[in-house]
Amino acid sequence: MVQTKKEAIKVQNLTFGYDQNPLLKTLSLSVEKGESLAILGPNGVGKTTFFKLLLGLYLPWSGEITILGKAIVSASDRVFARENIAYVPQERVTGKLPITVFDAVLLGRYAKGFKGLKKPRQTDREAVKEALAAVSLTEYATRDVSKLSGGQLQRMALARALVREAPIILLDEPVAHLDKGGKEELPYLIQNIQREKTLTMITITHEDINMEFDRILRLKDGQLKEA
Amino acid sequence: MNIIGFFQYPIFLRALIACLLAGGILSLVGIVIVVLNLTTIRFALMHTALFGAAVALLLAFPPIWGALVAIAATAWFLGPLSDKLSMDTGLAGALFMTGSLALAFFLFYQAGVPAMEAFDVFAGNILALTREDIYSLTIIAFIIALSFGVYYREIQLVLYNSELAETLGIRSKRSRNIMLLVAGLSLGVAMRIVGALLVDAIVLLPALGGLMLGSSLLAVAAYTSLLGLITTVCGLLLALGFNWPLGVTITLTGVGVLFITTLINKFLKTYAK
Repeated sequence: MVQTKKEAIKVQNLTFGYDQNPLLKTLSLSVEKGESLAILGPNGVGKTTFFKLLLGLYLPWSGEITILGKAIVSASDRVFARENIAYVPQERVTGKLPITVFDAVLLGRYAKGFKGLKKPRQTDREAVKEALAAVSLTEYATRDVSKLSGGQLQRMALARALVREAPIILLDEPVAHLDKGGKEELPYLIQNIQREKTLTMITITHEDINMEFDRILRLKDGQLKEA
Repeated sequence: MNIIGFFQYPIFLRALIACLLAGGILSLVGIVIVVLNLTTIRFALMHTALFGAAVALLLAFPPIWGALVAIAATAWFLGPLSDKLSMDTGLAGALFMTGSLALAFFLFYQAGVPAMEAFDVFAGNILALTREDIYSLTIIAFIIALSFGVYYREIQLVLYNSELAETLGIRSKRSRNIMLLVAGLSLGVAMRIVGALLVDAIVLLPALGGLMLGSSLLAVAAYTSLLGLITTVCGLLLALGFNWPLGVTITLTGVGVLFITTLINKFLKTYAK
C-alpha cells in the first residue's frame, strides 16, 4: 500500500465486527496531516470501534491501517499507533478514586514515560499547566474531578490528550451529554486548538456539532461516504 | 503481666507482626476492592473457601489448604470468566458464591464431610498463627508493596478509568485480573488472622477511611495504611490489656476508627467551606 508523506492515516479495505457479524465492511479512508475530519452516524454503526481499530486495541479481520507511514501489523506497531494518537473518550467519573484535575491530566504523560512512583518531571508539569491554560481550566487544577461539570470534564479530557503531544487526536462524541452552553463553547475551543497546533483530528458524533471541518463523512452500512 | 511483657512470648510476637503487616500493607487491597466495586466478590471468595475446605476434608488434607487453593482459583478465574460471559464481575462473583455454597452442602450431605470442620476455616485466630503463617503473610505483603510501588501509575489509571488506561497501552483487563488474584490471596490470609466473618476490619474499613481522607491514590494509600495499623495494633493491645476476644476487638476497633475518620472528614469539609 502506498502512503504519501502528507497522509497521517490511511485505511484500506478494513473489515471488522463482533461474533461473526461484520460491522465495518471494506472501509477505506485517507486523512491528511493537519486535516480536521468529522464522521457522522447514529449509535451502534461502529464509530468507536473504528477508533479502537486505529488505536490498535482491536485487530482487523482484514484490511490495512497505516499511521504516519507505518503499517500497523505487529504489537510494536500498535504501540507506535498509541504513541502517536491521543484518544479523547466521553469523559465521565467512573470510579470512586479521588484525583485532582492536575493529576488526571498528568496521567496523559504516561505515554511519555511518567510511570511508577516517580515524581513528575519539570517538563511534565509544564505540559500540564500549558494544556490546562489552553482549555481554560487553570483555576480548577487542584479541584477533585468529581466536582467538575460535564463540559469541564470534557475540556479536561482534551487537556489530557494535548499533554501527550501526539500529532493525531481522535474525539469520541465530544459534545454528547453537554448542556447548550457546553455544546457551543467546546467545539469552538477544539477548533482553535486544532488550527493553532495543526493537529490531525477526527471527530465522531451522532448529533449536529457547531464546528467547521475540512471534510464530513457519514458511516453507513459499514462504509464511509461523503455526507 | 504488662503489655510489653506479652511480646516476650513467640505467639504474641507473631500476633504483633501479623497485625503490623496486615494493617499496614494487606489493607491496601481494600482500595482496589472498594474502587472497582468488588465488595460482593469477597463473599464469593469466602463461600468458595468453604467448598475448598470441604473438598480438602474429603481428600484428607487440612481444610485451610483447600480453602486457600479455592480462593486463589476463584480469584484467578473470576475476571476472565466475567469477560467471556460478558458479565459484570460482581455478578460472576454471585454465580461462584451460590454455586460453591451448593456444592459444599452437597458434599456435606452426600459424602459425609463434617460440616463443622469445614466451617472452621471461617474462624481465624491470630494467636494460633504459626511461623509458616507469618512467612506467607510476609510474602503476600511484600508482593502487594512491590506491586504498588512498581505499578503505581498503572494501578492509578485502571482505578481511575480502565478505558483510558487501555488507550494508553495498559492491558487493563489483565491488570484487573492480577489485582483480583492478589486481593483474593490477601483475603485468604486475612481470614486466618481474624476469621472470614471479620475480615472486613482489615481489608475494607481502613480503605473506606483512606478514600474519605485522601485526595490522590498515594494519599489514600498512606491513610489506609495508617488506619489499618491503628485498627490492628490498637485492637491487639486492647484485647490483650482487657482480656477481650481478639478478632472481635480488632473488628470493633476498625468500626470505631472508621467512625472517628468519618467525623474528622465531616469536620474538615465543614471547616473548608
